Amino acid sequence: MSPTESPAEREPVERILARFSHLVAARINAFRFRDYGLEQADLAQDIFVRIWEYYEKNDKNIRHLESYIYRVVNSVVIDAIKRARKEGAALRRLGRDTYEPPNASGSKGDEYKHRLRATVLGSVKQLKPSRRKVVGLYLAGLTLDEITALMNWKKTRTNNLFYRGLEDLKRILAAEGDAHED
Amino acid sequence: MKISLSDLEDIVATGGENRARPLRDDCPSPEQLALCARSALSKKEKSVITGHLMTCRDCAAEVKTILAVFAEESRLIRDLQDSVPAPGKKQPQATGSPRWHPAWKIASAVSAVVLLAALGIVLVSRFAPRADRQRGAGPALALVSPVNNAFSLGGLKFTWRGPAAKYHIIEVFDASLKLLWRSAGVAGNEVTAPEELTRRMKPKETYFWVVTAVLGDESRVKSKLGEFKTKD
Repeated sequence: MSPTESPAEREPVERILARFSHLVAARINAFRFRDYGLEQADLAQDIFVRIWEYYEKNDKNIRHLESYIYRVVNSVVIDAIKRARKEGAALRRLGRDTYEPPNASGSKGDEYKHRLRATVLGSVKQLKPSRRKVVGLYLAGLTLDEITALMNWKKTRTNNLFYRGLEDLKRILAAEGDAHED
Repeated sequence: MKISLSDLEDIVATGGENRARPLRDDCPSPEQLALCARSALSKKEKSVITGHLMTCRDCAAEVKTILAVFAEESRLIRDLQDSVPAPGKKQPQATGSPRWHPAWKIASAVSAVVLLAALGIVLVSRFAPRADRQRGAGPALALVSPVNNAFSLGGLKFTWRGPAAKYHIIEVFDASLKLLWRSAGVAGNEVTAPEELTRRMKPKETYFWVVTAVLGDESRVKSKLGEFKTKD
């Protein structure tokens, strides 16, 4: 801590950074990273230490800190995903990755689900490009908020494209004899 | 085959096409996914990646994680800006509970007026556009070159245009947005890439750069992130 900096100035930054580090670690951890040996506490500590050291060594200007935070977050999340991919690929090669998506167990409904999926995804391909993108991303598991952030759109645009896309999808399925029932 | 809304939700739960891709050789790199989530890719590149996400549950799950982390990052920066005073400004020190004194009635009335005025200033400053908070806000700062195309490392020069500034800071990043070089204060609107930077750059790689203009009143304007490639 710099001698010119009072505890009143230091504490909010430290507290906010600590909370942020734990939240980021929890978000990363939620994506099966624990399976691959990534520990939430280590990640949180790493993020906190890197940002805090930069803050301590430099002029403590939060505006300068902003671009450094981008880089730390980028590098932490990219490293975590790379590690997960590497570990996941190794486990899959060994046939030890037992992860299955929810509701995808080997029940007798699998064939029906497979056919259903093929029918719907085939129909999605017939949608207008912008609507196809939103519906396709939604079906891939992204929420409308996530699609909005990813596409850098306004929420209203995402909502409109999604609901129009769904209406089109119902019409296409109905025309093909696979009527959508509300 | 009748399809109900719950069937669609079931498809969502199983994550679109369920392809078995043990090595994921055709998946975008984590760097590309992060750049896509930061809207730092060209329209064409972004379209390719979002098209891939529609058919790959692994990448879609990774993007969900990246977006969640970036959302926390935005919240952190907002919290820091709101909680920490600008350098040089001191926060008021906390004091113990004072004993009431008649003479303080006047002082408290004056304080109330000052407080209201301060509150007004804070509200105006919070809701007025601040050039130093957001890229693209305030006077425009546009990158001229190198942008989008491939450039040779020899004689690589960064040029931009924007408002009159006291000085500029140029930052160059690699494809994973790791900082390669930060300039000292640059007075004009161009700077030649120094050897310490070009030595660290490789041919046929993607790089990013950004300019920060420090204006006369010490406020800062940031350009958008520019992308370029290096030639052989």
